[in-house]
Amino acid sequence: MSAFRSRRSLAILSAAALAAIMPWLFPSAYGLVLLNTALMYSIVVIGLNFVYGFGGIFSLAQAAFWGIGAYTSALVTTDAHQGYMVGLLAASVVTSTFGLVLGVPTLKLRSHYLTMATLAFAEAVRLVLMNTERLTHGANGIRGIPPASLGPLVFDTPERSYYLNLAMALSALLLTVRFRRSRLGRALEATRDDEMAAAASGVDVTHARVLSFVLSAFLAGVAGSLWAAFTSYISPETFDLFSTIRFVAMLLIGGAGTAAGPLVGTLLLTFLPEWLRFLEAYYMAIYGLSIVLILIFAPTGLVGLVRTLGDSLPHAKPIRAIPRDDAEPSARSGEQTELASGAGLQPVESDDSSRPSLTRPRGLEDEIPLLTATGLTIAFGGLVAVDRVELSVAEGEIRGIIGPNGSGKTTLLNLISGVYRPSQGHLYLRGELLDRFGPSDRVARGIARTFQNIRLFPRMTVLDNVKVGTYARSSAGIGRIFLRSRGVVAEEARVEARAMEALAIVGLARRAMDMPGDLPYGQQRLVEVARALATEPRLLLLDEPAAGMSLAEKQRLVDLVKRLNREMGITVIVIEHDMRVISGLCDRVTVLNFGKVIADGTPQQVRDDPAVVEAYLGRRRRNRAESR
Amino acid sequence: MKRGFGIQAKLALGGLFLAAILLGCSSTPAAAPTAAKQTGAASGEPIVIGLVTEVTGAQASTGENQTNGIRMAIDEWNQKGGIKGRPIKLVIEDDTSTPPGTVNAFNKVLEQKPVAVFIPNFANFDMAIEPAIRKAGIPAITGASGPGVTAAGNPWIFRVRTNDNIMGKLAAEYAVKEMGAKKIGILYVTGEMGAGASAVVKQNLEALGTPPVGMESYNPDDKDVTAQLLNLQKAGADLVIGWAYPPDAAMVMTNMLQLGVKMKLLGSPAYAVSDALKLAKEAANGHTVITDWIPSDDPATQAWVKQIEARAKLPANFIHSVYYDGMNILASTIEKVGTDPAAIRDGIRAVKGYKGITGEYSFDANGDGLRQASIAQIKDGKPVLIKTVKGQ
Amino acid sequence: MQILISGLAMGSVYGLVALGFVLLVNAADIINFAQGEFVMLGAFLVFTFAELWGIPYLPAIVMVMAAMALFGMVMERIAYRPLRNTNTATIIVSTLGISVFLQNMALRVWGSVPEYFGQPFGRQIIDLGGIRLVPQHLLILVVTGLLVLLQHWFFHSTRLGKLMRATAQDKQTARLLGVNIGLMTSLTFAMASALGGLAGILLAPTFYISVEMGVRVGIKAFVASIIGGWGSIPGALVGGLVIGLVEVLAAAYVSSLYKDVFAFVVLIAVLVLMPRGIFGERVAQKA
Repeated sequence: MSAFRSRRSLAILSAAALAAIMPWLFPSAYGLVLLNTALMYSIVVIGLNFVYGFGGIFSLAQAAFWGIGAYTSALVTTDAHQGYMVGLLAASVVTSTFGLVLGVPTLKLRSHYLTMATLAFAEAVRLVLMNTERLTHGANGIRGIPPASLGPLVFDTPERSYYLNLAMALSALLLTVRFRRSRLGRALEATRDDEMAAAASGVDVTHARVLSFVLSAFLAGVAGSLWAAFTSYISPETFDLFSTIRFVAMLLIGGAGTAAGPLVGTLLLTFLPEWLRFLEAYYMAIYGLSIVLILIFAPTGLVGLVRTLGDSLPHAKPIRAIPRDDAEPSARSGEQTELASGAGLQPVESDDSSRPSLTRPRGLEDEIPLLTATGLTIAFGGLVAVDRVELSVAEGEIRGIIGPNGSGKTTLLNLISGVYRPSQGHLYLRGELLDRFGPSDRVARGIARTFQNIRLFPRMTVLDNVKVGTYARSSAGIGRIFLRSRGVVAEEARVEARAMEALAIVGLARRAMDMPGDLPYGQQRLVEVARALATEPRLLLLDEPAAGMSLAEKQRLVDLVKRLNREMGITVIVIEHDMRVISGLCDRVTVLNFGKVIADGTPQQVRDDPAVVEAYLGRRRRNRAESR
Repeated sequence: MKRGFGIQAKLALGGLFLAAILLGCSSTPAAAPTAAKQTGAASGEPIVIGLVTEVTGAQASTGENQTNGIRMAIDEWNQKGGIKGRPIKLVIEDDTSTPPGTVNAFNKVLEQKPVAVFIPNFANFDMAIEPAIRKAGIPAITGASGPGVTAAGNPWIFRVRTNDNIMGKLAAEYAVKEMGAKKIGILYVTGEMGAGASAVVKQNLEALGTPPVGMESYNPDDKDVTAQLLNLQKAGADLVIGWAYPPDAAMVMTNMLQLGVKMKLLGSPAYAVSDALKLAKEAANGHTVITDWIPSDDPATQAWVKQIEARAKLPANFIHSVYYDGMNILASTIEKVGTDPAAIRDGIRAVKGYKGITGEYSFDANGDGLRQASIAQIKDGKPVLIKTVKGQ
Repeated sequence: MQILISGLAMGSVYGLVALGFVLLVNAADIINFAQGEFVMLGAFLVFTFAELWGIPYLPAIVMVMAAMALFGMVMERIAYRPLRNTNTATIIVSTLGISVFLQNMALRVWGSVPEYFGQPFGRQIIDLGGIRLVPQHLLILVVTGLLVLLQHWFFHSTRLGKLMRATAQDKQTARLLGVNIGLMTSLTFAMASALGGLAGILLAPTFYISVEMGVRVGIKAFVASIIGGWGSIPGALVGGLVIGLVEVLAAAYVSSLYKDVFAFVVLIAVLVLMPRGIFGERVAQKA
């Protein structure tokens, strides 16, 4: 470990030295101007990376934010005669506010509409800049903008500006790296990849999106301020749609969603026209073609390409301390269990030697059940999917929900977890009305779930997937994340411990660093359970967890759920088709058909209920069953 | 933790990348693409003159005119042996018809260490590099007419055309006194030049007792000014004074024809430029233009016109002529005082009564060199001289 | 009244360009930044064929559209097909690269000086009792209207059209049903390019032809298709007309300076109040 660290420090030191002497390495003053330009652009592109790379929002407003920042800073330092720092501060505040103003209303829009709204905003900004002569000097632009200064230090030459811009760009890069590894970064990427799963894991999706907008605007505003001071003249034409698209190109070519991508792409696309100048008259045409070619050969960007190449080389996995897996039975035993006798899956007694800290003592038997549904109804168009369902689940219970396909089981689960709003009826959690809470709020209140079709975040490791579940139980904000305060470091350690614990409970701790796509189906399902566990739930909703599992896996699943229930006091509602799982697991079973509850009782009772038999098998079979 | 390459490998790659950038930068000065032809008579170390102009972008046609005028003058000098035996080398950089492009192009040109530089014919673009010119300390010659260019107090900037303070005044006076217009409307393109010039026209009209009945504007890439024209017509204008760039000048004239408006037009210099006239075709006929220069009939001028038309494959216009004159003034000043930029600057300012193709040049404290205008009427797509006027 | 005519005229110009644009939106779900350059190419090509080479107007049109269709297929091969399975943003940036490439190549071929192209009506004006009509504008309006009907018929009543729509909506399933997807997208690009070229032919007399002519028109066309309903063919025309009218009315009655702003105010209002646009049926909602 120490050898690794010292090699790394050496690498960083030599990079720092190289960066420090850069101005003297450049053979031409013009080249240094270009380098400064590239650094300032890269800050804008890093901002774009937040909203598009990490957030998945295709925003076309980036150049507009850049312009707002530039104009604010320019006006403050010229017309208002303030110092540069005031200008910089004003630029960041004003631009961030615009980011908020744009982000909040457009959140409801999806994909194309969101993009169009950002486009409308961008063009409106450009037009205001162009036409409001009194404020922005209109088409003439603003000239004579004083250079950046920090107290007595004035950055009026390309050499000096280089250090300022380098420092800013590196800070932005640092923000990216720290953000990415934080709870906010995970939350944003989760929202990007699967919004529903993210919300179901407790992520405040709205907050994540708005934050990405504000961050992108903030960075663009800072870059704009630096730009205005560096070029000393700004005019509206610069901040148009084509600039935005150039920034998008820089991001895509570098690699959206990576940390180094923005810098790489910006450097490349800023210097590329210069390299091509030897082509004289054709240089711009070739430049356009190069963009297309680079995208074809590196659709995930150059950094993505490097990473893919790197993955194909042999490399050592980083060393981590992996706790012992409990509930991990030896490979071959348990294949021929009681399952074969058809008597239902029996739980295996586990030893209590490792007490997970996720345990909550079993609640006292209260009068108030944990979950109550009264008259719960939802209709989609003319189809009533859930029809006046009454449900009452006691704390500490394991409740099964069964019914033929299309009977409304998953819909009921969606209602409980908050994905759908009922058209009639109410839901209560320990007597508290749930109706106004969205999915992520319900997670905070202790309801977690898994999905029928597995919804893991494909671009994160298994461990990071589970960490997403801790979102609602952690609180680090962007400021503290950037500063890497002690509280944040401690919280991340706690988050990691919790996530590893959850993985250990489901028996997958040794797969923590794998990507979900590498895992077999049954194990992916378990990762989902681990993620749900990480939310520290009181009520766990499982939607066909045994689907696609082998007999042995199903046994292990039953064992797991029983453990969760008995040792950690988690109430469970499970939808299943496999009656053996239901019998082995559930205290009570509720049966749905066509959205209505048709039976409710112990697994045995329900199995013999004629209405249930009819629902599954039809009337003749029922008669035959009755006549037995 | 990330998979794939470790951090030192990434840094190594980054270093390689940076090396490529440096290499790329160092190779570019050698690839300066365009230089004036040098004949055998001139030898010795070249004198470098820079030209920042529109090679691409919306105003590329003006850039081409500018380049042709300058090149013609350089070729003549080089054929006669250059300046004191040293050939003149022209270095051109593309400003892409945008202010930031102008800044970039100017910086690039400076790398070649020119002793003087010609800058774009557009006030907007010139203003973008005005502080940089001051810092670079070399003379910069332009034909941009927006008053702001020489009002900035920059001792290095020289204008080889009539600035709009004078042009606007002459236009207002001609409109009122000679054309007898009573109700005048102004239609101008937004931007430094259009806004500045129209303000000057307005001021002068008011001073003459005929304030404008309406002022309408449009953006350079607008395709239609019907509403603006109709507004002026509604206000009762019988004459429109138009201030434009060549592409939109054509658009205005075309619109006027299409709408069949009864108003007459007195157009700014852009209205007389060959590109505008070629595009407008019949729509231009009958309009009056005020410009720096219209070719006169005397043999010397006509000989010059033939030469430039052969080179440019376009009718001769004032952009050709002012930059031709400007290059000649510059070269003869260098011949007199040498290649020190400060000396050249003072030398240009000392030029009084220089007779060029366009007219007589005398530079004042602000750097303005020309104070005349020609009024012409468009007949059969060509401007026909009516009279020349002198300003102060 | 004249103002209204003028507004409708400009509007139908935007609508015409928007038609080709909408086609690619429907077929490939992309914002094609090179659509304006298709228009520019069509204009330059018809200028070259009809003016420089002296080919009569109507055959020249056919030649231009054939050339543009071929060009569209080439572009599909180069800029779209290799990126087909990446995301929308990548494809959009790729079209930007093509746009830059085309503009600058056109600059090399045809030079920087704008050209005038008067066919077919030259400078004639129709005067209807004081209201002046430019015949070309009428032609544009009529042709655009016809094209809308034609496209609607093609996509809803012919087999090929339905196949193209199917491919656009769900490539995988179409492929499973035996549809040659590559051919379909090729054809779509060819159509969009030919439409763009036709727009260029019709627009050439109203503006002058220049290398930049595609740029501003492209953005307005994009906005027109949003207002009219994303993906809707009649919406493209209606959206264009709306923009044309708003611009002209704002210039006439409010302030010529701010007329562009008004177009965008309308856009924002539409997005907020009627996110589907006027005709939009495609709603990319995720449950």
